[in-house]
Amino acid sequence: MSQRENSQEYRINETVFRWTSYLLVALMVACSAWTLGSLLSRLMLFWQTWLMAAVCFLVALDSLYISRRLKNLTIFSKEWLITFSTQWIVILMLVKVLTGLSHGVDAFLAEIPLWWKGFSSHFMTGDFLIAVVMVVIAWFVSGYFAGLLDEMGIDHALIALDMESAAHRYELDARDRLLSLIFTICTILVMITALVRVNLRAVFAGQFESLFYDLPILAGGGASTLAYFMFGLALLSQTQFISLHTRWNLAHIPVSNKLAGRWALYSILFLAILAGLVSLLPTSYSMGLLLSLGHLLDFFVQLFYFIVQFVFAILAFLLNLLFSLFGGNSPFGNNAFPSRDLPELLNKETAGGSSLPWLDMAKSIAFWVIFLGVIFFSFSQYLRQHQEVLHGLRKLPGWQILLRFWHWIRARFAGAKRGISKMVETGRERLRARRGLGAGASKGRHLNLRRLNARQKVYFFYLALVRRGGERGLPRSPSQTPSEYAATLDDALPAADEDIDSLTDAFVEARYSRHPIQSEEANRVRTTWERIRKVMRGKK
Amino acid sequence: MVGTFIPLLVLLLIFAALMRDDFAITLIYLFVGAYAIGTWWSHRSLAHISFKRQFAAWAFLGEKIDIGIQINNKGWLPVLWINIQESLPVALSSFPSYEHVTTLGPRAEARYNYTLEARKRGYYPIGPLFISTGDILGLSGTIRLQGQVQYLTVYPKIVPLTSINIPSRSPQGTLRHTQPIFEDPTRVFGKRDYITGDSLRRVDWKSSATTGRLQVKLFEPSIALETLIFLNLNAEDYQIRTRIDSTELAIVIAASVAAWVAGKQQTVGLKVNGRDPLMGDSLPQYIPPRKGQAHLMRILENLARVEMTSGTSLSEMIQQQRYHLSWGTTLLVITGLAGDDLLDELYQARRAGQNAVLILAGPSASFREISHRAGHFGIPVVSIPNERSLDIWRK
Repeated sequence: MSQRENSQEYRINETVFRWTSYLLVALMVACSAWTLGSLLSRLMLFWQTWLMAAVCFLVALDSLYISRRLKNLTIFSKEWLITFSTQWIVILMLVKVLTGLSHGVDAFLAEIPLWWKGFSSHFMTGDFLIAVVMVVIAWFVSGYFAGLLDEMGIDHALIALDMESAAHRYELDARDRLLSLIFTICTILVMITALVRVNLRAVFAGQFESLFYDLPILAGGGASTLAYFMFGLALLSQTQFISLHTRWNLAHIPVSNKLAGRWALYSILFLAILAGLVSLLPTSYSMGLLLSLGHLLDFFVQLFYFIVQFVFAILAFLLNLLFSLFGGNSPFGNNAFPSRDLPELLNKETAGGSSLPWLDMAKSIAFWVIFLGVIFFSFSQYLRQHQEVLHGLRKLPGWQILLRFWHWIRARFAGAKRGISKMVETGRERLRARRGLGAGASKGRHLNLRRLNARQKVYFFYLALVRRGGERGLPRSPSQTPSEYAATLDDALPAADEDIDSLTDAFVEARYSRHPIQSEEANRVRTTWERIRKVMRGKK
Repeated sequence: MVGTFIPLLVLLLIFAALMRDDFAITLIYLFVGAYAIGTWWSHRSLAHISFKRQFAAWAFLGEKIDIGIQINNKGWLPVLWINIQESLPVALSSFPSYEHVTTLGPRAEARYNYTLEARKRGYYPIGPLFISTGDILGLSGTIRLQGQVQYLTVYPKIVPLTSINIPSRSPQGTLRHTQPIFEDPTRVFGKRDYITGDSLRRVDWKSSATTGRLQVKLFEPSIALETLIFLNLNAEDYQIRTRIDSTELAIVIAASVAAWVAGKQQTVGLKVNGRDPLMGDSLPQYIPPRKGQAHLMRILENLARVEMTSGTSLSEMIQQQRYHLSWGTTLLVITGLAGDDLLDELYQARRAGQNAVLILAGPSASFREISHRAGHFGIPVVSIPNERSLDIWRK
């Protein structure tokens, strides 16, 4: 792909990704406004959450669009001031009209004549001021997002002006800042969502017995916060593509024209799979961690008891059969080992009288397993990426004991895994042998030369020489040493005598020395073998 | 990058623990799931990528070498993006590397081709090939797969020679000779009447019976040319200013002479005191005199790889080697300068029944002096100051 085509493709991608990113940012801002609105609606009954979310969405779009024009103007210049002030007058008027209309058209029309009588009391109402604060935040946050997106490479002209290394530095820095911004807003939204679930009136009244509301997952700002996060992930995917694309473009690396489409498709699939997977995971539990562990242990004990009982029952049956053959009385009565059913996951008695269905218990166990797994994975990844924390932990007293214990556990697990793998492999081999494929399969198995190390390659080429020699009527007798066999071949193939000697020497070195064999040596042996093979073919 | 959302994760854990709320746990799953699935996907897809590089491992000077790279995704998981980066030898390419970015569907393959120009003889590494990828969100870093290096041998330039006067004392070969002492009884070129003193073994009894007079066979003299080329790549034996060009010229001379000798169906060998990268930077493997095209290619391969070195004495090398050579072998010594020790060694070889020819590669200010001293020992000296001077063997 030529440089020009590359650049054209980049321009198309740039436009598509610019507007997609802007839309995602606007949606994220709207979701944030929705979550904040959920809290405000708890405090102020007249608050219209959906209305403010829509206003913030429009303001964010406007901010993202206008930020490019404002960036090209000198700050506080006449043109800048006109653009900025007219922008804000329109926004404020829109906010005022919408907040006024939220109380009803009649109420709003009745309110208009009062603005001249008492501007501060009738125009600057509480809900209007709160809405203005939200709109200002939405405006500036969107503007900051727009700046970061431009730094990351959407503004191709800006990048092209910069030096390559400087652009790369900006892009990395901007991406980190974007991540921080998304997660910081998410943290704030989580706190707001938590506050929505707290009975604030009860807190202020000092009644702590009913502190939390039992809200569904998507109610009280939950849906908007989750949506914010999903849009945030989509934006991260977009920016990852655009930053990579910018980097490749600056380095003049040709990029497949399928990539943009596939990236969009895989992003949607990724988010859909993630959402689907998360929706399947258990999010609630009816039993605590220790109780779940107790039931799990109980299940395994019962299972073990059942197996032991089953084995004894078979033994008793055989012994009874033996005694009955000789006409004697059986030492084990029919009721010596009372039969038991398969263990139940949970008996009513073991649950302390409470009637927990097995599904609840399975869900609780699954929840704890997944939840603890998630926490363990997160912190292990964190420690892996922050070696300084790990280094600090190593200095703590008792850490070494914990570490040794951990290694011991890992070694046991690794041993068990090896054992199981071996058993499985043995079983598979047996099955193959039964099917009569064993010998044939191993014979016909393809040998991947690339996977062999240098020493094994030398062996391979020497064995190839022996095999081909045998096919040409010069088989190696079991009593012959490599040198003796080489002499036999030398006589038959004088044109390749040096190569045969060289290959034999290389084999002897590889077979009987301990020092490492270099890959160059293996390559040389391969070349030698190819020459010998040609001579052998010619001899035929 | 994980560190960025750890505070949020901790907050969510506290939130989940306090309120036992589905929302917080769902968000934890989303956080960790996005990172874990993204990382798993990139690692898993890279593990299923295999690649193959195809090219002719040998090329003659001036040829274009087409190199094909085949990338296969053997898994069912698509590869979001891969950056293929192949390191190229600077001497053969205008770019330090070949790069391409693509995406691969499940069990898909991609092929790329690029061309190198064999501009300079040598043994060049092609690769390693780096294949890098990353996760869709950019939360975990880029991961990379490194392939193996393959080697390309570019043969040295071969100047087609037509007539070289290389002395030989090996009788009964395939080359015509003017000295009747090297008469070859297998090459009958005529008959004449018997004169007194002719050996009875030369009498052609059938012709004598036919003509009624005693006829004797006339034999054509011939020689066998067994040549061993000693190539000196010791840096100290070349003038500093023209060292690189002169050693390259010496290699061209060695390759051209070897090709000429092999073309005459004669045996030729090679001994170089240079550095062979294939032998771990030690001396190249000695190639004893043999016949045939395959043997010539082996010599050319060695000449393609060898590089200049220092501190290796040519005279010592000749001394060690000439005892293993048969009587009548021609020692063709290609060097930049010839000292007394070298001339003395060649004289000893002459006395032992071997022939010696000294070829001075590159401009040599002391040619006359060397030629004069070598003349005393009966060693012919040829000066080849540049490639055009090889024309003396092309007439």
